Amino acid sequence: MSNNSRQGTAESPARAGGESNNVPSQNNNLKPVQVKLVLLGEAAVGKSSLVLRFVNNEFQENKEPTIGAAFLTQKCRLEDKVIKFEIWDTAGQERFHSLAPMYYRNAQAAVVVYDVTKSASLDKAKSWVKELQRQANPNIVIALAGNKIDLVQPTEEGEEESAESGRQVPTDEAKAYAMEAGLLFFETSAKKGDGVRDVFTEIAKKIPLELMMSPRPRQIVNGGPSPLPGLPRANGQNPGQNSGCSC
Amino acid sequence: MATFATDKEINASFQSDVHLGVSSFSAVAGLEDRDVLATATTEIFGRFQALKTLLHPNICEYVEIVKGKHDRLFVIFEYHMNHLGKLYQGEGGNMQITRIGISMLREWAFQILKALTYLNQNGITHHNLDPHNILLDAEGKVKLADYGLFYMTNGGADVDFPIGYPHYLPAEAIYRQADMPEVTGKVDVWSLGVILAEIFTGSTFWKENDKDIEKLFFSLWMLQSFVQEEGETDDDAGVWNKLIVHQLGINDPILDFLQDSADDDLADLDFRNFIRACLKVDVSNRCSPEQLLSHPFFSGHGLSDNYKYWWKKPFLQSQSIDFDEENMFIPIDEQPNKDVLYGIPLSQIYYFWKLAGGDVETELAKRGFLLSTPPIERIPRTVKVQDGKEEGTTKDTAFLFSDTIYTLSLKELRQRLEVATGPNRETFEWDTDYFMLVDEDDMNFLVDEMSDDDNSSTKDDDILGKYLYPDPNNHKASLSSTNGQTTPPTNNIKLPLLIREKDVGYQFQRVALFSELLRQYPASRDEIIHHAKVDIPPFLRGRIWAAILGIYGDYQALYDSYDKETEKETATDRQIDVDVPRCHQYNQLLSSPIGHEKLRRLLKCFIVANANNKLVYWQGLDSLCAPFLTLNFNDEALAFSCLHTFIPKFLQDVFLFDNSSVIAEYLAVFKHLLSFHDPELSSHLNKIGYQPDLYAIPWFLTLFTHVFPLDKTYHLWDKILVGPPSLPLFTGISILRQLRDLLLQSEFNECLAFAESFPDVDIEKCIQSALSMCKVTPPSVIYRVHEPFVTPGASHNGIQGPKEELTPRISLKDLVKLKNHVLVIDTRSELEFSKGHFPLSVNMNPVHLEQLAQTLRQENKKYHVVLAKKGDGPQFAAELVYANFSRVAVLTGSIDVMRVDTIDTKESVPVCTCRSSKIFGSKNGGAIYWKCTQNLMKQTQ
Repeated sequence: MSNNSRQGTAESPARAGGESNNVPSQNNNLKPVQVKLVLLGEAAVGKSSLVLRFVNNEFQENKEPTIGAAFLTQKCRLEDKVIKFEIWDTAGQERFHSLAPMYYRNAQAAVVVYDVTKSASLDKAKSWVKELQRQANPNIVIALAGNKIDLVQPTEEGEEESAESGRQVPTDEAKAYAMEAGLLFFETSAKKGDGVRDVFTEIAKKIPLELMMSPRPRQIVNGGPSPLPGLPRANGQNPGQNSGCSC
Repeated sequence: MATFATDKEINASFQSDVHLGVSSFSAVAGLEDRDVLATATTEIFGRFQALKTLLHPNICEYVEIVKGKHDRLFVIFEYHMNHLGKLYQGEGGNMQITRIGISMLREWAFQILKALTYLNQNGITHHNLDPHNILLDAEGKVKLADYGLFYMTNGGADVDFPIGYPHYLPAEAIYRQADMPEVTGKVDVWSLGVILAEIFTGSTFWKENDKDIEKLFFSLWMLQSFVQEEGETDDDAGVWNKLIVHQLGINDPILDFLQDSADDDLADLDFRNFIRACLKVDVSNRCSPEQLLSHPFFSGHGLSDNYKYWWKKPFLQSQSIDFDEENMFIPIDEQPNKDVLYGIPLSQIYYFWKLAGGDVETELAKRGFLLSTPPIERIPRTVKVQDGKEEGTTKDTAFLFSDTIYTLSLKELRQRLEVATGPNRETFEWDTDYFMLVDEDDMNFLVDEMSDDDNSSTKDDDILGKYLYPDPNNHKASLSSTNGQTTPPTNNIKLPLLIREKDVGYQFQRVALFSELLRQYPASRDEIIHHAKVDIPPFLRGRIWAAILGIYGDYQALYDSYDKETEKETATDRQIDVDVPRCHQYNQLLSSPIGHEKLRRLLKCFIVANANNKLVYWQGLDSLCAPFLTLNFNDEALAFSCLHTFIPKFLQDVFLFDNSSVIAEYLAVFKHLLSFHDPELSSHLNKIGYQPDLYAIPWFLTLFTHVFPLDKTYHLWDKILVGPPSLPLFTGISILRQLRDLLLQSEFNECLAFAESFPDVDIEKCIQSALSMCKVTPPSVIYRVHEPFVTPGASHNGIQGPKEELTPRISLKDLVKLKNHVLVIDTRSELEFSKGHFPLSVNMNPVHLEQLAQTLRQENKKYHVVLAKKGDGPQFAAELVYANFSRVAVLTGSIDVMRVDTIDTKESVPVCTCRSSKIFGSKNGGAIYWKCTQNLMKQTQ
């Protein structure tokens, strides 16, 4: 849920469309390749803010917590392809954990976010990575993103020491872990925009070509999350099979 | 305690000569740093709220704080035209002060000290005492004003102007030293001493008043240093007999008065000692306001704090009132000469003033205040290279502090209200259609439930109270007209809610009605609910909600009994800490530091209080708190009690550690209801895989508080609180149906995007459509195991189908009630059908639906109930939904439920066995169906 609508202001940035500056107009005839991506991580590390920066190039101070999950899309261009990210932004509170499989199953990419000023958030990120590697799509591309580097960047000379001291996760440590676990690694600032775009473009590059070019598995057609175990869809039908059917 | 009439309301009838004053200022760093300014402004805004609760005979009430352009703040408060400043004439050294005798001064001093004592007890230091803010009301009673500035600005830290007039401040307020105690009420004692000495002697305290502040500061510093070195004598005289005081620039008449002399008039001695006590330089020697009240100066003069017309809580309260209807209530109309604003609390007057078109910022702009200078004009003309001093800058009045007080004209408001309440006002009539929306040609389960139950009248009333919207024919509820407000709502009801809320005349009457009812709470609870179903006046919303929820008893003690302060290193506490600063931060109250503290305490308290119920903190609970906290910002305990009562009532079990089954059930019923009421939309969404679990969890987990901004939530909850428990579900469906056209055209991704960014949903329409759907929905269709209070009549048919089914189940009892509105479609074999079937049902082979759809439609029934072989029903019912049949449900237990002898004979339906039932063979591709024409039902009626 967007804060904009809460404030009752006129809003409607190209959301589903995402025909933003990323896609030159001459490429509009290119059929976008859909990539389902999920964001995971501890509460208040800035998952929603990262997405908001990527999709609308905006930042909201004190963005309200995500409950359940939020869904957004954004297109971006990679060489001769147009990639449409279908992004599931999940709730951070541990209690919502049971909903997560619904969102990461069938995802081709995941961004696991932690807060560089909170070491505990990296531990949580690690456990998400473990879970993804064990239970998600085996080809899933996982990126680790250390957010909020604006809080530890020196703003002016002389403040360097005090600002740096707010950092609890050294870059090297997280990088080493990412290497070892086979993850892409970034440090980002959703507030200032640093590194946010790189996360998504690097993911796009790394997703196996055949998976993107070949007809995609049916259940991804709708980008929809798969049902929870024990919670099959209505009439036991998979909407993926339904959509092509005229009955 | 628990009565919902506030002190201010009770005492409002003792006001006289009411004026609303406005003063204005800006927080720090007006021009340089927007962020700092905004933060400081928000802080002040939050701290101000507590000031609104203060009430004492000798202080002016604070009414409201308003944030204007450029984060300028406007403070609205009670104002009186007369003040001690009027004794001062002239400027600076030529100041003439009218002298006043001791007995008058004694009265004033006493009242001022009473006021200061009260403020100190509430943690407030005035720090700004000045003859101009010692007001006198029409009866000559002292009314202190401006006492909250120091408090709301956090001791002046949030503003960049000094608080307090240097001439009246003691040394310690200017030269604060690290080892000094906190600023206390003793500051004001000094100021009082100076003021009284001035008025008594007719001379300003300091020579060359108004000029050379530096010299004044130096004198104060001298005094302080002297006392620190030499010590202040314990006797009354203090420093005033010392030589040093002659070097300080204090006026001679003042010194003459303060110093011992040969011709001392004995009568004045007490007074001089009192002033000397006020003017002790060393804070530790100076008395507090409270201590001074027992000074000999006051004894034996018949001063008492017994204000005969002053009422304070607790009030007597009773659950039932025996009143003499004849004499108890004097109809308002019989006091024609009374001011229309008589007896109305100031906060209400200000509220009506705004409704009548008032706006403090434009009001002040009209009077030439707040003329902001164009930025180009504010650039300094010259900047000296050496010391960087700027010259030639124009100070912009829009950003400066001004102690000018403006009064708001209430003339227009009076005129508007006199029209609205006068003899030619619009007459009020009940608008039947509005409440009932009865469609003669359709079901109404809300009414049905009443007439259906046993004739015990108490039960009927109970249901009536719960479900029915006000009914003009229901005489029980019209008891309300006994209390003076003889005419309940008007034709205005037909106007949209938003217009009614802005209509000053309408709100005036609604507020009067509910104020009266709240005064009588809890005895008046039923009536409050009754009237609340029309609408709830926003001004009283917080307390009306509390009354509807039935908050009663010493809720403050309950709140106090829980530990909400202890910091615990638990995941819950950490989660609350990160969520609180993110909760509805566009709201000025919730974004203030005080608001954060309050929200944190409320959440912690809720978790502690519900530990035994196994409820835990889920994200979203913060949003649920928000409406209650914002409406009862100064009454945390009430906000807590509301939340504590609300959750089990509307969100039973939702905040359990494992709530998956609760949520799953809720969403399943939601899906069923969508199919039931909008088969086309339901089948579209189902086909594209747009399932409620993807978008509706925040809706129901937070009852829309996470989805809507607070102003919409208030309107929604106004209805949810007085509506049937299933209303939130229907609200969700109404929302989807408002977006229907968009959703029907959209694919999965786009649909999800809609749920992320709601286009403007019209809450009022939403509620109306939700209620009308609710009326036609049989209770068994809505049934949930986790429903908090079981709907009457639904208790024994709570068999919901598995969650993956598209359509709901219906009980036999409800099916029977549908009578001629229903088409029962029997899909069992012809043989079984002929052995026994539901009267007037049709029999068909499910595979022939496509061919027979048209024929079925021609039956023209509103409800379609499937009676099938066990396990086959849901599949066929789903096909009916896909074929766009409305209100489809599956009969629970199939034909067997009719055969079982039910205990309640009223419910049993004879199984029809007409073997020779007519064949309506539409020989269309071999599809045939049978129809029973024997209406056995009729015979039973």
